[in-house]
Amino acid sequence: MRPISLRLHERPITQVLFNREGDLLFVAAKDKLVSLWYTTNGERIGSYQCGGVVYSIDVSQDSKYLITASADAKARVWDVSSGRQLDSTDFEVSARSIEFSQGDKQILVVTDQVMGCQAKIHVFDFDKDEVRKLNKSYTLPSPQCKITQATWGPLNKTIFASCEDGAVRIYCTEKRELIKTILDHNKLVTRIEWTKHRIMFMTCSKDGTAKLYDTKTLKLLRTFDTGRPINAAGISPLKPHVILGGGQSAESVTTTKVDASQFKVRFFHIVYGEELGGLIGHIGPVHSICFTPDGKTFATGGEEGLVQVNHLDESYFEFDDDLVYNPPVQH
Amino acid sequence: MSASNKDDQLMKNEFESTYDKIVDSFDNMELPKDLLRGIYSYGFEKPSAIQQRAIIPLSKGFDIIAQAQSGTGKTATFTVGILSRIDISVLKCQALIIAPTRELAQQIQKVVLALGEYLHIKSYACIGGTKITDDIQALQSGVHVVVGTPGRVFEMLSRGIINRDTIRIFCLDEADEMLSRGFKDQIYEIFRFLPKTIQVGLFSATMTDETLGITSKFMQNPVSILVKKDELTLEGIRQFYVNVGVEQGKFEVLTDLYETLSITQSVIFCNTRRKVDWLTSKMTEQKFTVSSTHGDQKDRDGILQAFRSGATRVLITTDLLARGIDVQQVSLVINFDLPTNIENYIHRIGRSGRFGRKGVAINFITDAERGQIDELSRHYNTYIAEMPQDIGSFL
Repeated sequence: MRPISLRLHERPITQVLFNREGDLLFVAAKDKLVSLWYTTNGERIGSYQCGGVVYSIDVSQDSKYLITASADAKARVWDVSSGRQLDSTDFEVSARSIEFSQGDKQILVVTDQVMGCQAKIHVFDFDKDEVRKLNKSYTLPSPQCKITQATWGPLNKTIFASCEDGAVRIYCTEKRELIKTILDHNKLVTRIEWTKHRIMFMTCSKDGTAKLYDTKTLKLLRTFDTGRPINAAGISPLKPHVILGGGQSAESVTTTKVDASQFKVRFFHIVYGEELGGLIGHIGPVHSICFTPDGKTFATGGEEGLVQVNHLDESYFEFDDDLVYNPPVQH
Repeated sequence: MSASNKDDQLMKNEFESTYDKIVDSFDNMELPKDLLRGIYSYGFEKPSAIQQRAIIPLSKGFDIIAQAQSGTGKTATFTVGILSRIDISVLKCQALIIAPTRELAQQIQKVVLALGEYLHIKSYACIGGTKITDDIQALQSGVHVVVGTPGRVFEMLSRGIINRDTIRIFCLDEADEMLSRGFKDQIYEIFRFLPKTIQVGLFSATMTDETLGITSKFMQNPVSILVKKDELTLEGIRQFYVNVGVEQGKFEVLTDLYETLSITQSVIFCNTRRKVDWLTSKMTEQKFTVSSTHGDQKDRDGILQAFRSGATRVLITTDLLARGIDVQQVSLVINFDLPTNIENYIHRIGRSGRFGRKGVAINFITDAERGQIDELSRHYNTYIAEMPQDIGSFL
């Protein structure tokens, strides 16, 4: 398996994202660009120019709309095919995270805890048929610390926020208030990743662990310990596998004696918790991992501006078949 | 919490400073709000170790000598410090930033414009290689900051195109190079044009005792932030040597390594232009794809652009590009020749291992040069191991 390397971005990658069909790959970076590629061959289709570092992106289910959150304090809506900006909304400080709700009727945007402002989660109504596509709906109460990401829970009934203080906060979208706080990590939580259908979720942290939870009961099911900061996770839709990526923070990389193998993305078995293997390829911290919805391809993006697209071999799918439970066929 | 304290303690131990304040958040540095917006818009979130120490004395008007390892944020440090002192309402040159090469000056210019976006900063790269009438026109239309190379800046100053009366800050990047034999006279000439009360900032990854001695001619009681000698080498860059026996063996080893080289991006350093040309033509003869540059400015821009974008993966050059050039995906530096100047060792290997990225350096030596590896190891208190067979796994 030889990865396809996408070299365009001159600064760190912040997010890699596949559309629902998995044929398009969107890449957001700190060079103010979002680029668009064909997944199969790594051919570039085009790019979207934002006014500041792009921290977060999402794409609608029909692949018609791209939304971006950037450090120039704007959230933007783009027409995917033409690259035209359709709408934008201004904030006082950097927009850190952005996501369509399930069904694409709403969009959440996280703004940063800097320059005297409190971090907030803003919810907008999204109406694709109107000229003004983004209309303010409500704002959730601030956790009084930086929010690294927010994501919609099942059926859009909740919003989960990963925070700088190590907490994962869960808000009710109906009551618009905090209903639960998970305090299992002791350092900044970098990412929340869902399994297929959002039955379980995984949290990644600078404390070197990723934790898997049952969504309904919030019971901690398993902890994966990598011994170094984890920035990203990709959960396979096909196999009981998770890929974890990260590495020490950018400012200490050049002055500490650890080699590039710490930037391997590592495969773990989600039930047994054992490490299955790893892939090298990045020379800086890995910031984002994403699987295609069919589970056959994943992409990683790193601090060095490199994106790797990995089309998984047949041998990967056969690798641990003996470990998979197949219920007896009903007669 | 103990982990935070430990990190901070480690950072403190890296520097010897005459100014002991450390501020670990941009918000707490009392910077102008529009500059803060530029900093966050550029994607900076937390100041690096040198930024925590050097931005505030700069913004308060102190003369400063600052040293920090390659790839740890020096350009942003002096840019933020300088921009915090610009009076935007005065559309005259208030700051001069001088760099040894055009490439480096252009890189700095890009950062100045990005961080100064919300201040609406006007900055001009005065680097030669362009029509002098274009420079005159741009400078006369008004700028706040000039970033340039010594020759062209001196010409603009001496002809009165850059009004010296309003210049309040003079900054030298790669200061030890700028104050060494090749540039020293030009720097003196520029300095003599500047107001006596000017604030001076000197930045480099290496500071020789000779450089520090010269600075007394330029500076008033400077704040000094120097890296302890033991900490100067980047531990994030793995260093190796390979003994090729005799000089002719170097080429053979390089071709053996080539497949490994082209997986990522690599820079190969030679000591002379003739050697660069020889090596380039010999590699090309053997059907290896390489690019090279050592002098002609016209070629340099195109070659560097192709290298930056990843269109070419292996660049052969001299110490001309040892300083400052930041290409994202360089993870390997090869010293085909050991540098004749011991300071350039740090600059060369600092082309890989940039902020947030690991690197590897491989030194080719002959039997006669074994002692030089030992000398480098002692001088920088670093470990240069013999290159293992599986060098590819370090890249």
